[in-house]
Amino acid sequence: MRHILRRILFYLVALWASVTLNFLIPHLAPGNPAQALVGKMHGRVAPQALHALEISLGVSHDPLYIQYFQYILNLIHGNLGISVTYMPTPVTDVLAQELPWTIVLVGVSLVISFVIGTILGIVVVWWRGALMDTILSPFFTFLSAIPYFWLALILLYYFGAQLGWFPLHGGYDADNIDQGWTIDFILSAAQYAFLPALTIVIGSISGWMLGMRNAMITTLSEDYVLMAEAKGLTTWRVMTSYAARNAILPNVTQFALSIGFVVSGSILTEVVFSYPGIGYATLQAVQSLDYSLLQGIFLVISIAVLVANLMADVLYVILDPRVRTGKG
Amino acid sequence: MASSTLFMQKVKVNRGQLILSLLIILSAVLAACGSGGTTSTTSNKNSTLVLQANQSGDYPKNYNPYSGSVIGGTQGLIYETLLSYNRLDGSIKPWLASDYKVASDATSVTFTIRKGVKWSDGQALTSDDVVFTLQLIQKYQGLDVNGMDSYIKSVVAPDASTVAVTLTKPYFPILWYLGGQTYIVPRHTWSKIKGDPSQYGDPDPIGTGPYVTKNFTPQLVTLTKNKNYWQPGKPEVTTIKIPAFNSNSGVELALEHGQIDWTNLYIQNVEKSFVARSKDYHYWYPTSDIVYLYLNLKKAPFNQLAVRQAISAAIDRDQLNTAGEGGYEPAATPTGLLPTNSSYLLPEYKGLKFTYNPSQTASTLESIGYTKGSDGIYQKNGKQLAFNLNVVSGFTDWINDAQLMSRSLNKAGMKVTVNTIDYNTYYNNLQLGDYDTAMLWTNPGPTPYYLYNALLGSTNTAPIGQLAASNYERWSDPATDKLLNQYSSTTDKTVQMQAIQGLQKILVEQLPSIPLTYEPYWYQYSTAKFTGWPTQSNPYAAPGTAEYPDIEYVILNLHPVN
Repeated sequence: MRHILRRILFYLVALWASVTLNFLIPHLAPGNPAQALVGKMHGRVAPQALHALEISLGVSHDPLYIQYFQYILNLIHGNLGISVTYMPTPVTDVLAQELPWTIVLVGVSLVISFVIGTILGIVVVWWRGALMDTILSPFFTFLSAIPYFWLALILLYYFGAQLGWFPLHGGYDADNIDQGWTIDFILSAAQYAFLPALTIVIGSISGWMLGMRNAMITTLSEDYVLMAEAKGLTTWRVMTSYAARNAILPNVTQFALSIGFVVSGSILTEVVFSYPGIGYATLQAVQSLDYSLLQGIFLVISIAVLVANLMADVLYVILDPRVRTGKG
Repeated sequence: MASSTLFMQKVKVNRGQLILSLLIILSAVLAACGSGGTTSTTSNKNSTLVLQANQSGDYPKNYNPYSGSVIGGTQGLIYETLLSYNRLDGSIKPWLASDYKVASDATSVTFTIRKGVKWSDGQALTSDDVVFTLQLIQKYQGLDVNGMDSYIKSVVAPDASTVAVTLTKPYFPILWYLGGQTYIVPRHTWSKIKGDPSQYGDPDPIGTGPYVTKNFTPQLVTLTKNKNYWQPGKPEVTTIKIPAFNSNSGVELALEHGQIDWTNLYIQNVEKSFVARSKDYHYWYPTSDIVYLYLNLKKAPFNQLAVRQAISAAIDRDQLNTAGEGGYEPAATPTGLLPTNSSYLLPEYKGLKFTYNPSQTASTLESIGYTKGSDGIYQKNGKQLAFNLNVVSGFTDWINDAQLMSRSLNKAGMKVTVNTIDYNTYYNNLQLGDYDTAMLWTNPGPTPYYLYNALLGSTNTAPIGQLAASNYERWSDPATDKLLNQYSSTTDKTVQMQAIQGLQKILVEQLPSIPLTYEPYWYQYSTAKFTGWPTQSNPYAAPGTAEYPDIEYVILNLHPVN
């Protein structure tokens, strides 16, 4: 318990540090939101517009330390401010609108690729040197080496444009279906999410598989595995309970960390498939110097990563008796 | 310990089975809908126009025409302006104002408000609404995107159909801002807005335009016909759909497959990749503005005319067009006029062109004391003729251009380093004057005045280290300002013509910045569902989906195909 408490205290300090960095880093970029917006308009704006935009976007000319204290004060009150990219939408609304798309798409893809990758890792090692291992391992290494952007574009072009199996853009059929928890909407969203999710799974599955495979190989040379086999336990039992259970630890840590980063979205997927989500909102916020939105997004990411880390810590206590008893 | 491990193990197996079975169900569902319902076609699609407004992701619910984050593609369709300008030739048509008059000394403008125009909620448009709108702009600087306030002395409505705007000084160009760029908003709803209206999202707009809002989702904005619209029989397009996109390639794919009717894209080899796909697919790229090589005139050696001329002569603009821009951006001419403004051309400049002439570069530089060093680079007083050329990362065509230029400039004896930087930094450097040379567009308008004023007017520049509005090269010249003032303080066409011709002379003789290529309005359209698009032979409005309120004029001219 003291171990957990100490970790929690550490996480609180880390949270403050990340909140401060979240504030500082966007403000270090040159220019301000109004300048960025004039730039974005590509000359389709009168030269005099800059001043008007500074006012309408609420560009602050206060010294940075005053803005910092205002930011902290607002944060304590749960006020993340107004997004200038999505003016006049509050940052909390932008997050509420974009995060569910990201969490479902990236979260589900992560779980799928983790589960399939880990299982494949176990299986190919158990029959290592057999046909499956000689084909699957290089095949997935090859897949992971394809640049994600290219892979996604090819799949979209072939399955979306050429064959017409999947829609070309968007998160659901916004033309005919209203957003809400109806069967129609969920089916439509699933149809629109399939191809983006597939590309993410293809792009990340080999990492899980190879990680598991390497850990399994090390574990299989341990004496207790030999002992288990000598006891005459079934192959299945030895594979799952003796080898895989111990080999999965690094993958579980990695998985917990990945869950934290789910909320940062997948910018490339969102760009290629014009899929709604937090990744593209981040890109927009960076390009428009949308300080409030960037701070809001970074805050969510920091909290998610910290919580995921905490969960990994706790999980380790449960999974690994050595951590629990405090003995090396 | 042993029992707890056993317990853990049991839970784990169960959890694993649960996840596995969930996964199987999920993938079955996904597979089922993946193969099943493909594209569902809606009925009555013929009168629905799908246009690409931008590719910057999900929309905020913002129909406020004065907001920086307004939903692109709604300006002009919901709120309208007093006059309708054709940016291609500068011609003016009465719109919400049935007539207008600029006093001969250009110190006042009088608009006669059209009778019978109704707001979409049924109330009549009166001069009161126009006065309200203009006074709102005067009161809230955040709305004053065209900088009109300093020119407007008073706005009054002598009667229900007349609005008189008195100016603080003669200023003819304000007609374009007042008549062509000011969206008239209704007093009866906008007067209830609390706080600064420039920060208002206007979720339920009441306008005079041909469309009203029908449905909003962050990924798709749908507008439908305004039954109270003042032009009889219009619009024929009953529904407008504006989907959100995250990338150009996404829009292009949708365009090629007939899912969008009207776009604003740069497409590589448009003939082959787009036009060849269907007899209904067309494009037209009329000139919009000019891409310049901006030179920081506050820095040596660009403050010397001879150096500027030497740089210009060593640039092969035809090569920029063919090798850098796919042949869509022809070489600009030294006068800085657009081809559509040829009526303003000073007769002696007829046929004047830039020529690629490196030997002229050599003789010009040598005439002011530069000598070629052993490394082939010119130098003077031990200082090499070396400078940076800034360009935006991601603007691939400009990066090509910049590299072509640096190659030919290097060959001509200048050491040019192409500096590819992130957009915000690049733009900030231009505004603050923290650069050597950089490629950038210009701000055009319905007459050449606007482009010259933005590029050369000293009111649009600032000292190094302060934000310049548009005159980033920091050209500050009393003779130029006098000519700009001559144009803006009269309504006499001949005097205005003389002013523009004087400005041409300055650009040709003094070369404050170097014109490179003409930049077009990017414009692709499909005639599968609608006809009546602006074309080379019928150039009634600036095309493309990024010109506001001009998209309204295009949409009002479209006829559904039966």
